[in-house]
Amino acid sequence: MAVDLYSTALIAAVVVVTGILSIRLRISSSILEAGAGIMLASFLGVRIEAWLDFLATFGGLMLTFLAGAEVDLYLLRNSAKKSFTIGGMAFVVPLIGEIVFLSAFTDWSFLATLAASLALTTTSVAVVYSVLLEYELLDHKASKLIIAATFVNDILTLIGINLISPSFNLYTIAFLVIIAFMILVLPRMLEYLVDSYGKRAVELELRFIFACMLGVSFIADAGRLHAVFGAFVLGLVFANCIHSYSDILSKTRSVTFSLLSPAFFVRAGMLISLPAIAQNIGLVIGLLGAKMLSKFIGTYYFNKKWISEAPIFSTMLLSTGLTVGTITATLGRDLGFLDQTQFSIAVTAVILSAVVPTLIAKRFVPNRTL
Amino acid sequence: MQSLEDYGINKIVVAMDTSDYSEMVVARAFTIAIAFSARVHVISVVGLPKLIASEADIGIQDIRISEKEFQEHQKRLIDKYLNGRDLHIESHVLHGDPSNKIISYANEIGADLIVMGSKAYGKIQRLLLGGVSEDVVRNAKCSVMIAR
Repeated sequence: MAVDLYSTALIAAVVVVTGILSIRLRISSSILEAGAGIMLASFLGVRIEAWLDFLATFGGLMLTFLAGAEVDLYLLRNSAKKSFTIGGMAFVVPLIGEIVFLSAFTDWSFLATLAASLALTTTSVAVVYSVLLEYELLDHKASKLIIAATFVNDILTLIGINLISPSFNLYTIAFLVIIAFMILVLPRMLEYLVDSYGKRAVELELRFIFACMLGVSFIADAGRLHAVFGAFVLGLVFANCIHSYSDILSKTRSVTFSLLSPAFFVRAGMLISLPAIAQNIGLVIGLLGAKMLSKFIGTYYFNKKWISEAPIFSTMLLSTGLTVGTITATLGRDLGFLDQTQFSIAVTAVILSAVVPTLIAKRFVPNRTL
Repeated sequence: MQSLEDYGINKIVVAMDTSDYSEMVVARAFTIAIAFSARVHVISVVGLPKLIASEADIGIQDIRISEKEFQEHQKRLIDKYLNGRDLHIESHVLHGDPSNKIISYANEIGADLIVMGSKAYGKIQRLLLGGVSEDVVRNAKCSVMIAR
């Protein structure tokens, strides 16, 4: 089938414009891309074509891979008890809270409820990191605990994705064996590739990462563990060795954030139905409120205990989320558990959770004594 | 009644990036600081969007690289223009919206003067990228000097 160059050119131009606007207005490019996707589909009649589907799927996998690759395992080990407690509560309580909320106020199926609830359990590493950085709090011990808890929250959400239609087969075992094998040999394989073939125009390191990620994602998917889970686990495995090769990570980010991530967020926006949002605005706000309230219930006590200088600030930061939440909701839609209305409601609540808790957190910034 | 001493310059904030004109900024600021025996705070700001929502908006590694570049550039220019003179100097790398950070830092330390440069943008670039120096001139509570 021929590619529709009208929509291709339009989407490419829109991605450039959203990039410029994000710099000019100093707001998130991902949110603008999702907004542009809504406009393209709702007002300009642009449809999602096969190439956009592919790029967006690839983008979702790469974003999940990078989320795994950026997990600081050393940081996790250093604050294991506290970060697992806070991160665990930041996952479990919102999951229960959202399920209770959706069960009480909607007639959604259990799988739709579960998919939407999982999408709203996340915490955004990017938001947490940037807010701490903006207020020059990043080097404090408590900040490292908040970041570690965020990692735990994301790990649990991505493990939790497997709660959607759990089922196991021989591929599941193959996936586990391959991951165990990769933990042992991947650092050495990467070292060998970089030494023997690295830093050339063919960019073999990137090809190797893409091949590993797509291969592992395929096996995870075939093993009923979902491709994004495979990408995330591979990212975690890479986290141990990829930081030694900062230029590889930098190139991976360049490819992801120039092409794949915009495709992912534009497509997510194109899947949002404006009439569905307008008709269910109360539910959107309710989902956001349920996330923030349940994050508060789940983490405030421990934040007060271990981050006593800034319990509300920390709690609000743990209520943020965008990328992993959108990936989870998209997975729920792609698997057929969320219809367009349910997806629109869930993703809009996820997008709002990237903004509202951040603005509240900034009202509770502690002195630089965290 | 206020005397001339009340209008002295005791603290100077030098806002610099890594561009060519930062040399002019540091040189002008040090000349004033020496004349007034003022304390100098050299700052550089790693720009961050006001609203960050995803990893696409913030590159942790890129930020670390920028921090290092700023620190090295600050050190090089301070060493070059200090040249054995007796001046009290502090240097910092901050993060966030550049104009807000420069203004809030100046307020925090009670600065008397901010010295900074200004990029020569064309009309379209100015429309798209805005101007940090314009913001600072408009909103700072103390005097601002644009070095050219």
